Amino acid sequence: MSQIPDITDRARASLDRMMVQGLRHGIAGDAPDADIATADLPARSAATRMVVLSIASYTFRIITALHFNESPQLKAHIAQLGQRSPDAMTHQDFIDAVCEAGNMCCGAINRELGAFYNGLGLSTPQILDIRSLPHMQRLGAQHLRHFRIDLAADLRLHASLCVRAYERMDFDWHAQEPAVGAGELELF
Amino acid sequence: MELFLSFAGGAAACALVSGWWIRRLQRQLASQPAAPAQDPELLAAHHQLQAQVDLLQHELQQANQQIEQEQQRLPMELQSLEYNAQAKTQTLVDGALTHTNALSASLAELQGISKTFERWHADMSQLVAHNKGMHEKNDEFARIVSQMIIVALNASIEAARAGTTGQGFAVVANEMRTLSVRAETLSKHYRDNLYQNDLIATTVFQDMQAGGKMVINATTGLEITNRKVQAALQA
Repeated sequence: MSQIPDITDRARASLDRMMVQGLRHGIAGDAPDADIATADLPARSAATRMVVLSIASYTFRIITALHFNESPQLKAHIAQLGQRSPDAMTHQDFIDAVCEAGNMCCGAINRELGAFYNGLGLSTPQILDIRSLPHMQRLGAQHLRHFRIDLAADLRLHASLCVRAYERMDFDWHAQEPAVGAGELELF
Repeated sequence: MELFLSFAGGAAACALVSGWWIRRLQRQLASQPAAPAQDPELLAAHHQLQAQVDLLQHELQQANQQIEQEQQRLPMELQSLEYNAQAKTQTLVDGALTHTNALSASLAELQGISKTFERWHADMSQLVAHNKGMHEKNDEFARIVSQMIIVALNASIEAARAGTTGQGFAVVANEMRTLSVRAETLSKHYRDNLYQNDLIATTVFQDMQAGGKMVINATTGLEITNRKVQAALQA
């Protein structure tokens, strides 16, 4: 019987941090005040669907899912990110924008993983019913984590990260600190 | 080539030594007083020395001739060797270029795998659409089952109202209700399996799609390296 390859604690923590950074970049518009952290899934969620993306490597696969519903709050937030009016946003525009948010999140993870792994590939986004989510563990996940994203007082989203390793995963990643200006005198 | 250089060096050294020896003998002859004709021993020695000088002069002349011949032959041989080396290098470059061109063609062909991904994408869309149709049919089935449960319940009530005459009908209504509940459970399981199926199909497709992009990225990298090799060979 073949042994299941393990994912070390620091690799798990690194993947979680990558996901948080990816979510901040993809759905929070890099807002530093957006509260994003790992969390259990609530018993009841307003989300009805999720945008799913995959990262493939020779040695692992990663699946990300951003849960959402077409609420006026999320629509307004998405419209604001795209610098457009929510009224001018059609249903398809909204779906496309959510897919793009998921794509940016997963793309950010893919980019950061490139520092440790060669030969990575990113899929295109797919929309699934949220009722598919409980089956994620059955995909053979060794690391399944859920995240809470508080974008505003009345806007909370959730996301999921699922990792399946075919070889041992061990790396340590930390987000780069944003460059702080040295306080130079600006001349106009 | 090394043999030739050794030979030429040896000949030159021999010529130098012979020259030195001849000059030494000539000096010896010149330093001796003119041999008196009456001293046969001295006269014989004089003749012997003269014969040696003549022999050595002859050898020196031959050695000089050989050196001249080798000096003429050496540049020609060098030219021939250079020509052969260039021809061999060109053959190697031509062979390598042929291989890089073949590799380039194979990589371009491999890039066509994107068409396969498009086909997979179309198949995936078809599968998702098919699953959606099954979801709709199952939802309709669930609605029918819910209705059957209500009808069975109503039948049970009507049977109870009929009293003893409705006892047989009550058994049938009860059985109908049990079957409806079982059908409802089955429908829920079926719906659950369909959602699981959606997730498995989607993630498997995405894995293939992302894996395909991984292959395309790798072939693009190989193509760039191959072009660099081609440019270096053609330079």
